[in-house]
Amino acid sequence: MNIDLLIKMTNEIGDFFAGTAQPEEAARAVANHLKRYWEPRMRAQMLAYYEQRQGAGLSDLARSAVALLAAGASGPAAGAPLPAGPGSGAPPQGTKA
Amino acid sequence: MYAIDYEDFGTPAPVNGAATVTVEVDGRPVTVPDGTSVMRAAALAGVKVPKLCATDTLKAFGSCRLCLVEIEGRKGYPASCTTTVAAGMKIRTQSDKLLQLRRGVIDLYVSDHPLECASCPAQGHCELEDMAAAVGITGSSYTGGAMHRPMPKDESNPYFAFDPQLCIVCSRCVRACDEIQGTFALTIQGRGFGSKVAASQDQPFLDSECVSCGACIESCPTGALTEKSIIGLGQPERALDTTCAYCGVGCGFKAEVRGEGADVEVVRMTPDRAGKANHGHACIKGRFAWGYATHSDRVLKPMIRETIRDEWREVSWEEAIGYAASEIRRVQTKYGRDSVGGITSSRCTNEETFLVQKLVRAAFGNNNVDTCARVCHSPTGYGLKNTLGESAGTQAFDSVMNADVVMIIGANPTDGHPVFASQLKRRLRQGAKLIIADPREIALVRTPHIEADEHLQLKPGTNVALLNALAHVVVTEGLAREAYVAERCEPDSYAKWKAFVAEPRNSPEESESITGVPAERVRRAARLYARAGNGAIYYGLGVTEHSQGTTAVMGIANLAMATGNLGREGVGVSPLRGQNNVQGSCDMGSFPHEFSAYRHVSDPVVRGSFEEVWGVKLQAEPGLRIPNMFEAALDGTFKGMYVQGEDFVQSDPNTHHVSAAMASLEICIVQDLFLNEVAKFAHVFLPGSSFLEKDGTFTNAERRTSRVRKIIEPLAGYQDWEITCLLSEALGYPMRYGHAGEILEEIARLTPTFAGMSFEKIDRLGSVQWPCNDAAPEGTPTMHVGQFVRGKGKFWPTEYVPTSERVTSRFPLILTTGRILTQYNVGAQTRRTRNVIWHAEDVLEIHPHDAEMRGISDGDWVGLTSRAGETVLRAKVSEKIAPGVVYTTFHFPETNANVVTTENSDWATNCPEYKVTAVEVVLVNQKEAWQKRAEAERAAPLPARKRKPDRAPA
Repeated sequence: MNIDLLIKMTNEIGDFFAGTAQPEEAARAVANHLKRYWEPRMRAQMLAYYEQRQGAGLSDLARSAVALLAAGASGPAAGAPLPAGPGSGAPPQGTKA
Repeated sequence: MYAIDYEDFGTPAPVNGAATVTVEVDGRPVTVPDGTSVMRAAALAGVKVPKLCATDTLKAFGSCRLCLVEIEGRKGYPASCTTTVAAGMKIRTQSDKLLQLRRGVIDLYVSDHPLECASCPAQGHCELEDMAAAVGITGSSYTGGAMHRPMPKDESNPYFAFDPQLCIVCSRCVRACDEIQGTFALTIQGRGFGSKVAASQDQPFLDSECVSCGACIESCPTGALTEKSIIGLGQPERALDTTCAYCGVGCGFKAEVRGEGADVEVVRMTPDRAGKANHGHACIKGRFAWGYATHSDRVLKPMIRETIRDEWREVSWEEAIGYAASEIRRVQTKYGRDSVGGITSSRCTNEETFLVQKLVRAAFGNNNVDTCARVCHSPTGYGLKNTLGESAGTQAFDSVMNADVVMIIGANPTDGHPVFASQLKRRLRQGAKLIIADPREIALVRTPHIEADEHLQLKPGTNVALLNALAHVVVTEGLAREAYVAERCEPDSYAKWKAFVAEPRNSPEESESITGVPAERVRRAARLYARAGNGAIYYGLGVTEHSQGTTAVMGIANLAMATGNLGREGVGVSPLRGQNNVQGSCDMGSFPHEFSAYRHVSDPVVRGSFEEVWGVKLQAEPGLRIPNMFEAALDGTFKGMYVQGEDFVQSDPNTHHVSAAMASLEICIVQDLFLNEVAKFAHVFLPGSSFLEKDGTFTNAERRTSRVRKIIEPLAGYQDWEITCLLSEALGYPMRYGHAGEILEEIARLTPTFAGMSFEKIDRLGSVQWPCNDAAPEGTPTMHVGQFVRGKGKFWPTEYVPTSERVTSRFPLILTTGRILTQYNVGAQTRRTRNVIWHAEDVLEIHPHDAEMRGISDGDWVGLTSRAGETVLRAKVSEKIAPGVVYTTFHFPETNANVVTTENSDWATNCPEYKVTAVEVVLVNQKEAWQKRAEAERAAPLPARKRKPDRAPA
């Protein structure tokens, strides 16, 4: 995904929570928001970016939040297997190769 | 004329009739509320008093003199409509003298209105015909006198005709326009024999101020005002109850039909007087604009194609479903489980929406499901949940009748929610005060008999600054209801918020340079609202569709809590939802992070309950939101999509970006009525069903769940929920229901706020507002009574953060977008009706100053350019918009305003920032290249498909 957009989104989430609490608590709120509302591959991309670029472009609060996320979470990869249960039935006829 | 199964009691029930009195009508005792008219009391006793100018939707008028009665102990023959009951009153409705008087009246009426009923469109439904029969008049004894004939018909309006020859000048239409609709477009012009009904300045209806709500037609006792569908098709034979498929008011309707089986056709739609959202009123869209359902553009056969450049190929349902399922599985096998997703629709029923998210979560195996509420009211869900505890409006529409001050923020009810607007106008005419916060001078700022007490004409994008300024006045001038807050809200959060808004930087004076609203006006508005007694806030997309949309919703909730304006009738925070089932689609678990009733997917108990019923393991991580899906598509990790009833290629921002994402998909399955803009990127087209062709429920903006009933058989063979079931079955996850009611049973089983819902209960009660459960078995009109759903209300500091979208020398104007009365959303429905007579294209409103600076005159083609794209449309020079701001609608793909809107979005929900785009406007002489290409595509022959002729006037 477009990392610049993810950075912008994270900073804007930070802008809101910055006004609601002290920095440490606000960082936890931002991290929690990312955990609750961002799909794992978005978080994974942000975490990868954070590791590679030390969160350049992120506000201090956003960077702290991503650091918290990096310390405690990582989502499953996008290419996980098909679900177990009835939904994993064999593809119907006519499936493309 | 009235709905075919409606009983008219002559005058309305008294408003405050708590005490009762007993009277005798023709010897029959009847006990009625004090203040009841003699006519109504008689009707309640089962005695019909002859009448013509009276009807129970309008105040008594007393002009026709047909309803005269005798009252023991009183002189003369009082009109029963304008005489109220008194204890012990003995009323006689029939006597030789009364008959003589009535015959005289009818004799005069028919002298100018001969009983030539066989040729009249109202035949069998004409009150004059009925009254003449009741008094035994078959013709007039007067001959040779003047008559109102020949007078030309006014057939200018596409939906109804006015035949003055059939008019008895009873004033019912004029009164309906005044009292019900509140437009005051009609009048009785002239005096005596020269009296006649006139629209505006005696203009054709089409050119007048008439908004085509149809209230006049419905109140007309003769055939003078008649729907053209009745003139064309004849009188309906029976009526079936259903719910409108347009805006979030969710009006109850009677679909009046004729024919049997597959030949059933709708003759007209009449608003249901028992409808609790609309009380018998309607707007042009709901009452008239339903012809799209049988429009020749409907696609009625499934189609597939290998690539989006190929021609469509009609196939059987079996082949289409099989191909769609196999492609979904192929993509998942190649790119992973999470590479596909689905979109639910606010135009589909709760049951259909529930099934689509079930399909995605259970059969696709991920949480990549989202809904169009993403781009309208997702901030409402987040904002109200985190402040009050529930993602919904707090009131019933009727609550407004107890409001003392109404504040409308970023909404245009007369255009977007016209039936609620009529109710609101009634309350305002009774004396309630009005505050409007809007960059535009919307109609309610000044309309007949109504003028806003304060119009806070703020700059687009500054809602939060304005709300903070209003709150500043409340807390610094001692207007907060401290006892209410202390009892009902979190003290720490209140203290923190109070200190925040009290800071001088949030004062109206400091904010003036940001909002553009004079400080004193803000102070007056804040005092008015806080001291209201009952202050009610209504808001729309002008609040949510901003980078700080969620913050603004929280700011509204803060303001309401601080002033004690929550938890009772007449107050509240009410989001005006754009589409009919926005509330319902959100309730049903359409968002990627939550199940029905707004419960997060990570909650193991909640997830377990669904896993148990659905028999499949569900994911605990949130899925992709719509804009995330586009990003992932461009990234190559999202490759397949199932879209039910949405057209985000037209409705979502930054069209070129969306189009590029859609073009990258390997499988796109579109289920819709028409080949819309998103279908251009589809590989499978599954023909859907209109609201007339399905069973289910809609939930409106006041949490009211109402039945949608199948009026005609699905034209393409299946209701939408059945199609989802077919697809799921083909995916190896059978979902089998015998009827939509069984889906609601499953919803009730899994959704606490819907636990007590069933088709049976809704049928019995008419409609039910959730929460509906053991604690509130018949529903909940007002929320947060006694305490907030979350326990204690939570205040949030709402720091104003300017949008990153700024005017520059290159883009010096701000574009804001909205809707108009006659068109709906992307226009897929209304563009296929005669509503195009009023609005055939989107235009750009520009202030005279900005127009003159650019050499632009009214009607010129102008180029509208932003950093995202360019389009060309006509200019409309207007003082309704402030200098520096331009405005347009997004109803037509030919001009597609969303080509220029950007990727900016709300921080919490990614709801797009439609309301603020930096643009430039220039005079041009040709359209943009993409518009020319689109025009060429539209001019090309349609793909081979079976077309049906229009079955009803479009």
